[in-house]
Parts: sequence; structure tokens; C-alpha cells
Amino acid sequence: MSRIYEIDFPKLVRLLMPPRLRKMRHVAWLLALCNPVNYLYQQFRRNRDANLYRLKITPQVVYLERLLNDRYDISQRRIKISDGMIYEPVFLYQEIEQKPVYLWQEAENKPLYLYTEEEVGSNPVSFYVFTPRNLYFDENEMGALINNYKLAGKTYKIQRA
Amino acid sequence: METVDIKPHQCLLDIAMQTKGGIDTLFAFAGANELSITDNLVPGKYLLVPDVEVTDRRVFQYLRDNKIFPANAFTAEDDAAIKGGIGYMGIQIDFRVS
Repeated sequence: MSRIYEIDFPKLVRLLMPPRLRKMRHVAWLLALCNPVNYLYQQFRRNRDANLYRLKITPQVVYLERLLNDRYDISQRRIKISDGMIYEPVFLYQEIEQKPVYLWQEAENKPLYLYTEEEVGSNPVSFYVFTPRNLYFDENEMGALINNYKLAGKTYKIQRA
Repeated sequence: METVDIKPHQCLLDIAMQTKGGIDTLFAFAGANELSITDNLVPGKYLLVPDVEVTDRRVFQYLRDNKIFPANAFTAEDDAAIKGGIGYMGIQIDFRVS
């Protein structure tokens, strides 16, 4: 990538001076004069880096995960995204319908999973954002962040794993 | 593209001066060589010369006729004279916090 925006202002000031005038006090004075420019330049650089980061994030799973982990779980990176799955719904009937659904004991090892509306309903979500249980974040804020980057029309659910 | 050899103690400003007569072309040089305008150059290597007009023909001609190679790069002695370093630097002034 082009490095044209990387300017070392203190060094540039010295390079623009004739070598015989590059005395400590003189250079310090010029650096003081250049300080506002340098300050603006640092702001520009930060803004540019932030914009480049924004542009790098796409709705691809890896990038969304990266974005969320950078924002909420920078060290352990435990936030995961997985596709919405479509499950067979389990119906529970009334007694009169005579279709018993048995719940087994744990030792019998015949698990029965009950899913939520989003998982089996007519509008299943496109993807899940799994966050660790002990991570504290503002769900609305995270939602806004995902909305910013996700593809139009995709639905999601933030779920604590 | 034309190239120019780097002599010892030359910086990008000197190269621009030597080949185009002025430092107006500095950013064209930086762009053509993918350098920052304040990068240290390695003597003995060469740089690409961008296809831009000579900005000051008199300076260019004078330097070429008298075989003058400007070499005003920052040296270790300069560094020592100016005394930068720990204790003299300021956060957000000399280095970036991001």
C-alpha cells in the first residue's frame, strides 16, 4: 500500500533545514511552530486508519466475527457466528388428542430438545451471534453494530452460549 | 522508467532536487517508489524517477553542469546535536497512540 500519508513531521522539519542551521534551539523553535500541523496530521492519521478498518469489514462471517471480537472481547475472542439451523419442531399435544410426547430421565439418555420460535418458526433467523455467558455488553449497541455491517434482509439473534 | 542512483547522505528531497530541480515533485517521487517522503534512503540502491516536468530548469541545469549532488540527509551527528529521545518526546507529538 502507498506510504505517501506517512510523514514524520519532526524529521521533515530537520530535512528541510540546511544542515548548518540544524541547531538544537533553532529546530526546537521550528518544531514548536509545526506542532499544530503535526497535531492535525495525527488526527488525520487516526481517522484514516479508522476508515480503512471500517472498509475492511464486510458481511463475511470471518470479518463480522473479527469486528465483534475486536469491539467486545479483544483478548479472548470468544464471540462466534453460526448459521441459523432449521430444526424439526416438537409439538406438545393436549391430552384429548392422544399423542403422547414422553420426557425421559437423564439416565435413559433419550434427550428431547425444545426449540424457540426463532429456531423452528416460519421465519427462522439467518445467523446466530453466540457470546460467552460472562461477557458484559450492551445488546442494543451490539445489534446496531451488526445492523451496520450485515447484509440487507438477513436476520440474526444474539444468544448467550 | 528512468532511474537515479542514491548517493550517501541523500534523502528524497535531495533526489527530487537533483533530478527535477525542485522539491515540488517530492510526492510524485514518494508515490512512484512507494516510500514515505521522510524515509531514510539506502545509498547504492536506485529510485524510479516519475514522469513529471522539471520544475526549475535553471536549478536543474546548474546542478547537472557542475555535477553537484545535494546530500542533506539527516545524519547520526545531527541526531546527537538535536538531542531527541526519551525525556524529550511527548505522547501524541512524537509518537502516535491509537
